[in-house]
Amino acid sequence: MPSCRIGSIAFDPRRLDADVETILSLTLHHCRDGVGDWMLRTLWGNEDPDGDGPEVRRRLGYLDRTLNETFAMEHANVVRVFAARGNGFIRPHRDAPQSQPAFTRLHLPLRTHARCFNSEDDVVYHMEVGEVWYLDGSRPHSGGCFSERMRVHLVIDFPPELAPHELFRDPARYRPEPPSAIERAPLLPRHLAALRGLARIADVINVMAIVDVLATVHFEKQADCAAVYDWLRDIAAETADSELVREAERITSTYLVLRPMGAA
Amino acid sequence: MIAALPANLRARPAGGVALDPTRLAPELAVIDGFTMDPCVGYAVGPWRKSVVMARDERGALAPNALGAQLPYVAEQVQAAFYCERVALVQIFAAGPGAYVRPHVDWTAAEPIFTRLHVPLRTDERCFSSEDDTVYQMRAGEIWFVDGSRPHSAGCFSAITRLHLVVEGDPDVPPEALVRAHAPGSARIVERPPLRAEQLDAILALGALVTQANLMRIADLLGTVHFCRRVSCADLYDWLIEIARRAADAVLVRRCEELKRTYLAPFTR
Repeated sequence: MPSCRIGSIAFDPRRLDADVETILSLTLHHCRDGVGDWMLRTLWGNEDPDGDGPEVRRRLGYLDRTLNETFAMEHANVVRVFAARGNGFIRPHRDAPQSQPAFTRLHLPLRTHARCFNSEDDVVYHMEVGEVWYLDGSRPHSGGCFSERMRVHLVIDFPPELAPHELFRDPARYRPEPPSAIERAPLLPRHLAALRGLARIADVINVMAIVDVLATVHFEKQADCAAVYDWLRDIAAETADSELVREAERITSTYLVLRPMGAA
Repeated sequence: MIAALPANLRARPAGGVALDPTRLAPELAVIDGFTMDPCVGYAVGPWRKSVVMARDERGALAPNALGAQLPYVAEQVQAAFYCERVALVQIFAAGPGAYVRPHVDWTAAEPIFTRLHVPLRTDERCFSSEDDTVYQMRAGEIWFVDGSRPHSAGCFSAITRLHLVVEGDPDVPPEALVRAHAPGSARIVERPPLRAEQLDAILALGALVTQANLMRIADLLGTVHFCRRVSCADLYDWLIEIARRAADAVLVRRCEELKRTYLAPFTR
């Protein structure tokens, strides 16, 4: 099932804001496949890399109660926060193949603004505070925050056997709606020429820096988020540098074929 | 290429530490396990640092909780440097793809500290640069880096590059920090020149640049000097021209500000 909005939560703005401030007071960790200020913090659950899950959960009492009232949290594996600001984004990737999903993932934006985007395939969309989103990790997807103002999403991973409609305590609250696509400018031949022209300066030394330039294009221009890896392989082929060609193939496989569970 | 120091290179080797790989290896593994602080501002990618030794309340250089886990490294610091002149010892860790944007730290007349680098783990894809020279520090060498010149460094390897960074007060010359001062040679990295069509490809990014991707483009262009014979500082002029080609006055101003921010020195 493609990513979609599946319901809503009427947060108390004042108490939500207090809990978000508590989250932002925690140490946030930059993640491996994030670019710029794209950060991750595990709050509580089966993983506790910061060793303070129970204490964090106690401090986030309003969120904890609201989640428990809304979702079958007894099945949740882990509750995390993905935070981003200042043009931070996650490289387009797949989390797992469709035949072997790693989790059933919900996104709940806690703080966001109009310059925060998610993408899946060739659609770019925005998640608003109070919305509950199912995210299909088997599709190429990305997300980014193109403003200095912080974006904070709560992300809950349930076991992959649970379908999105089984996550709400009240089944009537499950109301799937497809995302509204954000209008983007067309990708013109001069844009493609500029990005393919990077073959003239491409090197194994700067290949990831090239990926990071290419990966931003789809947020503003009509392109599939996974096109970055096609462009990358085209650029590498143009250089006729066999090491760079192999590296472009490796990067494509890493991000699109299968990757370990983690930040998305 | 091992070469005499280029006349215009202010960075220079100032001595060496005879590192014992057998004793060093377990401590490198310990460092790999440290939770280190991100470098905010100039660093791109997984560039981290941690203080391991600092002056205690009596003014003596002493290991902190992290440094206490590195007895061999501390022993080498004591042996190689005049510790009464050392204010701080840090570890800089640069993971794959990490680099610092080309920048200037201070004016030659007003340095903020005297900084020496000692690579503990490095390889042939780790580079340092100053102006239009790219060079490599080899493990165990003690290098002075002149923060008054545009400079950069990066790790484009699969390893995490680890440097011990020893700092003294700014009025202490680098050679006065090192017990066995021994000027050495440098491994200078030969690079082909930047051809006209390559510069055209760089400036053609005016078709793609936006506020959202400007810093990603800057981070790409900041790597070009490691592969092509140009100054590390050239990227800021390229960015201004790219923004002009985009006919975006706000972007032009932002690029001019970036050039000032990174190439104008801090002041004390």
